[in-house]
Amino acid sequence: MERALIKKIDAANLSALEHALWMSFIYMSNEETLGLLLEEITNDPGKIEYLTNNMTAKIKAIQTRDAVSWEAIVKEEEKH
Amino acid sequence: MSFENTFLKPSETERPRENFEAAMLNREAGGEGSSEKKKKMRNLFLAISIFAGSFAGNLMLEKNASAGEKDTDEKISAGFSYNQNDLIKKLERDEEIRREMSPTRPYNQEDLIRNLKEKEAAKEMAPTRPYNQQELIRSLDQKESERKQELYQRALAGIKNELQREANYSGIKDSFLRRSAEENYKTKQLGMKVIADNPEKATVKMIDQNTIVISVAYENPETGLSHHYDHIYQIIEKK
Repeated sequence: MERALIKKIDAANLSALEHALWMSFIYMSNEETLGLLLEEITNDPGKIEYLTNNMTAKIKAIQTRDAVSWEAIVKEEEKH
Repeated sequence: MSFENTFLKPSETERPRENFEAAMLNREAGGEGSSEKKKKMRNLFLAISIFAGSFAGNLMLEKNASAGEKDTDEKISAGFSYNQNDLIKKLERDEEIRREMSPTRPYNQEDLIRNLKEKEAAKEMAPTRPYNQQELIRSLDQKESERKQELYQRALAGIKNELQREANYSGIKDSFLRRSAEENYKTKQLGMKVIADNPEKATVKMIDQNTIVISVAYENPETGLSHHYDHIYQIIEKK
């Protein structure tokens, strides 16, 4: 499953740094999570860019302890 | 999922990672439960949140650790796993570049590289020098190759130094985040060791004049599983 995911992430229009973030995510995640991710980006190839933005926005919000941004991200997720 | 409860408060008890994740997944998935798809998306968002928390935890540690190093002429970012402050800055800069390049178009690495080459070419085509396209391209390729080699050698030296160091994550109060950070660091160390011991196995990609990515595929000797490691090396010039 990891190989299939890496293939899809390689094919996505991501910067090298965003790519590296996903590689780290894949390494740290369990099978169940990887299955969910693979399913989502297979059904909708554009989803990887959305999820990348979601991930980087969360990192920034946590790093700067910006609770307002965090709440906005979580609220936006409810649309999906 | 509130920000404070998720990341700012230490966990009340020491729980195994599996229990922690299961509890978090149940908390997220429960209650809402309108459709299977929604649950799946929530679980995925939660997994991303946990990863972001772990990543940001490393980042804050690095920030504290590098607080006394600000007087150097240049700051060297030696890797993805343990100098993530620079990575965030780079992500923010990527966003700026993306906005600058086109408001409607996603960021494209190839365009960025082409843009940099064109800027170099404009410098070369000074009014005192006749324009020769082939010579110009050859000159640019040679310069790029030399720069790539220079960055690679510096990155390799940084990796070797880093392998001598022991990371201390005792500053992270949340036990789950601390364990994640430690596991993450161990993985990166393994990748760095492969690059240092077997440089011929690594591939080097130049992103811009100050950034390279060294990639390596390797097998974990303890688990026998195959992994991929990207080591990002970037020089950030002091403004």
